[in-house]
Amino acid sequence: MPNPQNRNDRRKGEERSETLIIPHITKEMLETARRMAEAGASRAEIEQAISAMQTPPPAAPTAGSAQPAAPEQRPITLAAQPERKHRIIPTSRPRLSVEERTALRQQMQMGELPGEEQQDALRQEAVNRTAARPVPTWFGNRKDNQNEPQSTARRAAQALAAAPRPEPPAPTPARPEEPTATRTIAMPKQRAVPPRPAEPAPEATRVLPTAQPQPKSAEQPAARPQPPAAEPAPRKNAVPRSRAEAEADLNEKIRRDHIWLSNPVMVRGLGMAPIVGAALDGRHALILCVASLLLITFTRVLAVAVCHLTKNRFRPLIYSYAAAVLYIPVYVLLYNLFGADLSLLGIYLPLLVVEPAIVKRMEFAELEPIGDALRHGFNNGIGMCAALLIVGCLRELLATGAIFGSQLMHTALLPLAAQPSGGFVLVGVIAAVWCAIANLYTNYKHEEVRRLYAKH
Amino acid sequence: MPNIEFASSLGQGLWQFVSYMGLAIFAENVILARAMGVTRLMKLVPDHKAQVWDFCLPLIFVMTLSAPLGWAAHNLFFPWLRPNLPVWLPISALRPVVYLTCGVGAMAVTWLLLSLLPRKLRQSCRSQLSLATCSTVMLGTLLISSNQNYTLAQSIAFGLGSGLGYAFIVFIVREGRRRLRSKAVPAIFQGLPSSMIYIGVLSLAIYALVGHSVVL
Repeated sequence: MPNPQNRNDRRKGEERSETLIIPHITKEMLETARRMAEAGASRAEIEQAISAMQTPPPAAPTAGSAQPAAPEQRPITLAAQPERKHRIIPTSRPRLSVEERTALRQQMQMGELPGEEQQDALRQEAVNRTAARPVPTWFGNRKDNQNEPQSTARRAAQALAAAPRPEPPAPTPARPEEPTATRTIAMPKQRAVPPRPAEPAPEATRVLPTAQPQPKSAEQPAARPQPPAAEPAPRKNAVPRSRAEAEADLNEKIRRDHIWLSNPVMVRGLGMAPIVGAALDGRHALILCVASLLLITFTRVLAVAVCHLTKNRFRPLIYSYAAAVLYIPVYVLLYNLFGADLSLLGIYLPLLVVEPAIVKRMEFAELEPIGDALRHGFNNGIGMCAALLIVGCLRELLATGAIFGSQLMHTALLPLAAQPSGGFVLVGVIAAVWCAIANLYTNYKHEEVRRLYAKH
Repeated sequence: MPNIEFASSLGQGLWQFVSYMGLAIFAENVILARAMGVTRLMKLVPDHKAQVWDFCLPLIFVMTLSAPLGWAAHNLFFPWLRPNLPVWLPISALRPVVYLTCGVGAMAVTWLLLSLLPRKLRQSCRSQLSLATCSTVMLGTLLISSNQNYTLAQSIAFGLGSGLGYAFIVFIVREGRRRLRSKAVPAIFQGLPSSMIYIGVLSLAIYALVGHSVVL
């Protein structure tokens, strides 16, 4: 048994106008309209006949029905669109109710054709009424964002429907078209309300409106090559043009945030030796902070400068020796600042020389500029300082109930925090909380980007 | 009788050597007791491309060979240098650069010794040699040996034991990390936090075994 033809395929290539999908106009009405057209009837007469066929036998007139209800003067004409003569009025268009059609027919029969101003007012009212149509609840509360295309399209459709249409040629040359203002009920005037242009969907979620002019220049760079002098310099805060670019920018920002989102200690696991072994209290952490900030920042700058000279060879030795050489003035400075307290740190102060938080950069082959090295080194140092102070103060509080020597609690909640084992556990818990918060934030930012560029 | 005294002293020396090695491997493990080399450990554990021995073998060689150099720097070089330094410059400020130089010397010797290995292993070990030299484990072991005033044999034993202890902990943490990939572990503890807590538990066990904290 052959497969029946796909019903959707059957409609391909056919004129949609022959599809009788509108129940309000039957084939009988259509035949009537054809016959009248062939007989030379005018458009208004055809419409009147169709309206009469559509309207059920009028009930007993009531006070309410006698009132001229605000009719939607939609151009529901057949003859008005000869190229779409058999197209039935789409159901999406606002239709006249039975009472409205009855009132209009009575109005026509009484010869009270609405004037131009009244037609304009009626059209505008119809448009407003359609625009005020309640939005289905399944659109959700984000009406401004997500329903904007629908509403805009609806407005555009209304404007298009309300717009004056070109006068179709007369069906028969023997009877030229008469002025429609006096013979039709819904034919819009040529100088009717100017069609409201379809507004672009307002980008309620786009935070940077300056992104509008950029896509044109970005989408066709080859079609219209600009001279180099005419091209604007790439702005540092240029708005990303696509979702991929926005996500790449976001990932780059996250990667460069060495203080919170890419903290060298809590996220990347660098610098564990001074954190676990030496940051036993706030004062130790403070000394390590100063030493780390100085060493991380200037070691990176010095090592990068030397690597520029050596063509980026011998990086491990250069980084380590740069830190070891810089350790000499740093130690002298710290000795003058903190005195004999430096001995409390034991081996962990000189260990900073080969600490991965300082010399980790040696594992990367790309050679960064010195300015970037200074900025990244300083950011890394700040991030390590934050981790050192948090862990040091927390360990002191848990182990002794004090912070920087000031007694806050008279009980030691966790004396084990002063031991390396307690330091490991504490750093693990802090890292978990830190990463969870950072992940929440980054997920929120990623979701924001996805929402922003959902239409692109 | 001299042979007996020689054998006795040799046995005592060996026993002392082994005991210091055991001390460095377990009681004063560089990772569990002093948290040195944790970052490299975290890199080695999940990285299946970098084999453990590619890093640990050069590390053991460098630490063993740098121990006598560190002992010489502490007992010979610094006493000679101290009176020649200006007043404003403490001798402690020069310790990192001196001990780092000891490690670089050991690295050069290790580079030659690695020639004895098969070609594939030699290349992979040499690629990790500089990282093993510029590590906190190597420098920390030299600093501990000098702070503890170890003898030459004790320094070598401590350096060798520290290298072996590091490799030992790498294998233990690697096994633990494999088990920590269970879905029973909460998502926020996956990765670094769970590994740190795991190392903390191991460190607590060592602390309970030794009964006292190590000297920083």
